[in-house]
Amino acid sequence: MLLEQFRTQQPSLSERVYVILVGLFLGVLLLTNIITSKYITVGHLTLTAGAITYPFTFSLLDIISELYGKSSAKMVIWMGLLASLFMTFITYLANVIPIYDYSPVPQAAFQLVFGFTPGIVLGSMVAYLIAQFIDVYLFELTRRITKGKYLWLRNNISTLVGQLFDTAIFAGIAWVIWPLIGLTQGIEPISCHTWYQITINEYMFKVIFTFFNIPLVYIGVYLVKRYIKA
Amino acid sequence: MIVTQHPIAGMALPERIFMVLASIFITSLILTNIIAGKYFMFLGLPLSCSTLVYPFTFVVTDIVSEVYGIHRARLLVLAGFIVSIVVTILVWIANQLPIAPTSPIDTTTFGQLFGLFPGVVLGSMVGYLTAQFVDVQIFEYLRIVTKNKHLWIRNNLSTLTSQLIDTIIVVTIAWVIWPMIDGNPVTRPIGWQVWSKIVAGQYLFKGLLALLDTPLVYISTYLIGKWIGIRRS
Repeated sequence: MLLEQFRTQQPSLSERVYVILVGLFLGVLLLTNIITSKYITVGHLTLTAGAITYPFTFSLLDIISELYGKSSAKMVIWMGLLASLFMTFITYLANVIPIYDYSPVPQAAFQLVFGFTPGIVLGSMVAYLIAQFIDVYLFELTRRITKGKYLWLRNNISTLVGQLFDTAIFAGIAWVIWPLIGLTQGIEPISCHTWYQITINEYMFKVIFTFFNIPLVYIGVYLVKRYIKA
Repeated sequence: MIVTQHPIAGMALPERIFMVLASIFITSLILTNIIAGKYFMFLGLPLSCSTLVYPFTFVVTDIVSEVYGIHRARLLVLAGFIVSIVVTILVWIANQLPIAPTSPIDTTTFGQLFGLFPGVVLGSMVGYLTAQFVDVQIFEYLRIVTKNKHLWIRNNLSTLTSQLIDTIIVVTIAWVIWPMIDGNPVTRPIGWQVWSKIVAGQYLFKGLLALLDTPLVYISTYLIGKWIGIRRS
């Protein structure tokens, strides 16, 4: 088929759904980076506001991976990374520009919210990398100890421990180390106790969500498949 | 117009570039709405911080329309529309959730920034739709008046008028109407003095942008076309 024909052709339903899924992934990911500095109380748990939205990025990624293949999903991950970096750059720029006196949003509110953004993006990247390494290392270690048996045990232990490190490192960089470095003004680091509390609570939430994610992805894949008749 | 024989099956690179363009579009659109509330002074007039990223959305849809066809460009606009609505709902929920005492950001700060968000999204959608509608009406009216001659007058006059209406609607809904009706005590509507300045600043910027947009789209389209191997003669 010639490209000229491609240009005049309607995108298939499958392509349209793909673009919308990718768009939703990016939208939710960026939003998570921004709103996550508000801590909320759900029952007895103290969570970040991002904990409500962040899990959807995983569900969306799993659905994309299942329906459009692993290479598409990998491409989406890279896009998410680039989008986060782009957002960090733009919000940083917007934050340092001198404000107009009658601006609808005052500078104090703006810099408190976006002052955390670089730390959040940095924190999630560093935490992700370290957690992946710990995951792989622990998997190897337990494989030797169990002499190659009990795959499910190794799998679960390495993931659970990796996730704990991920959560702790992320919270540490985003809300303790980044405010202490002081590259963005107007933000205060959280106390050690708060750090500990948010890490444990977020971690519990993540573990619980992992179980909910499975039916969510199944339902999502089923619905999208039926819709695009793939 | 087109010479090349580009097999669609092997379109890995064009497809990937399309996804990159789509990602830039969505990212810029979301950022535009999120940072819209902060204004700075530009040539003596207040200008929204969203002008840092807003132009990307136009340039990208123009490039996509030129390289991949109008259907893909429309698909991007549709995706942007859906994502904006979903993000707005999530922001609204995040704003309503009870805050923890240890939170790094307090409720007032969060509300000042994100309380305005639904108004910004609503304003830009209403503004966009109205402007499109008005644009067509004025164009048609002028076509009859000028008896089908002077296309450039019709084209420019209709665009200039519809853009002014767009700007007025966005600024009014986002910074006046929404803060009045949202029931959020931390968001306040702006005064009419500020309103007029913001409208003037925003409108001037749009005019400037329209001038810069054309060469930018020409260059980008040429480069991408060359990269993915479309030759035009």
